[in-house]
Amino acid sequence: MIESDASLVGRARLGDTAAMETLLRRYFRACYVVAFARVGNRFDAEDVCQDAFIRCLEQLDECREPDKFGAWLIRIVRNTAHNRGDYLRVRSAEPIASHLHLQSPARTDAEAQRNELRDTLMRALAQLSEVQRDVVLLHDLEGWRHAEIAVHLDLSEGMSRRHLSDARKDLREILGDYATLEPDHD
Amino acid sequence: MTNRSREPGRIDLRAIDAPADPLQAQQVIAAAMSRMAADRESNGDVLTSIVIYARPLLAAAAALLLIATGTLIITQGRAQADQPASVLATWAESSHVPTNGELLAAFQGYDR
Repeated sequence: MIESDASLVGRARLGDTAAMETLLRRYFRACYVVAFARVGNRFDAEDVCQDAFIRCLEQLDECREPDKFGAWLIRIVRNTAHNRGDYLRVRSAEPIASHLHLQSPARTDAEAQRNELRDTLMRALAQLSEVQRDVVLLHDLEGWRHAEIAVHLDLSEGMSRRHLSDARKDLREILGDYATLEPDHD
Repeated sequence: MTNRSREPGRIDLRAIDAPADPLQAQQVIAAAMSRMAADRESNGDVLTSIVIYARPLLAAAAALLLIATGTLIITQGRAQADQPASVLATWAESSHVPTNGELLAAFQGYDR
């Protein structure tokens, strides 16, 4: 049986490091995606997560609703990304990894295409509002359901659906042929 | 929550990032935990320093307080002994008849 967030927060407040790790592991991917949506690359997103996790553990006593720990943690991640000012860089994100090593011509072509696609997607995502970006990344990249997104982003399920629908519509317009689409059933 | 199964309607965003990597989570969380532990240790050092220096500082403060109180008591006692009423009482107890000079000395500055 999965231990509840509230119970884990209770143990973490008493200094139980295993409980702290379980909580952070449970929400890592959501935090990472939210950070990534703002800073635009893996390395900065990981740094934001690390800083946010430290703040979260230091301020754990201030989490007033332990059963909503995930939403509280994601808010800290958002604030941390904002405080760094890095979220602005999402508009001019350039993948660092592509400059790190020499590659064979065939691989370079494939990677160049992948990098081009990634840059195009990042530029398209940058045109969305932050909440739309969070929702579309959590739903379409991470496979979260609207009920989960609603709880963790402090939205209603209806608003989550609305943001997703608007985000997809905007992305389709911006991406054109780049957007790989299937009919919606969620 | 991390099920990436293709679902109808979604836009394929997989190109923007590597799939969920358990090692990535482990590394970031471990780094955060160790940084927090280091912070707590350094905070502990500050507390230890305060505890170490607290005793001598308290002892010095107590000694200063003692000296100040003693000085105040002595000074007040002397000031009281110099008062005209106190001099007159001494003369009366010993049936001493003061000379003109003693009277002038006792009441000098009385009108202040």
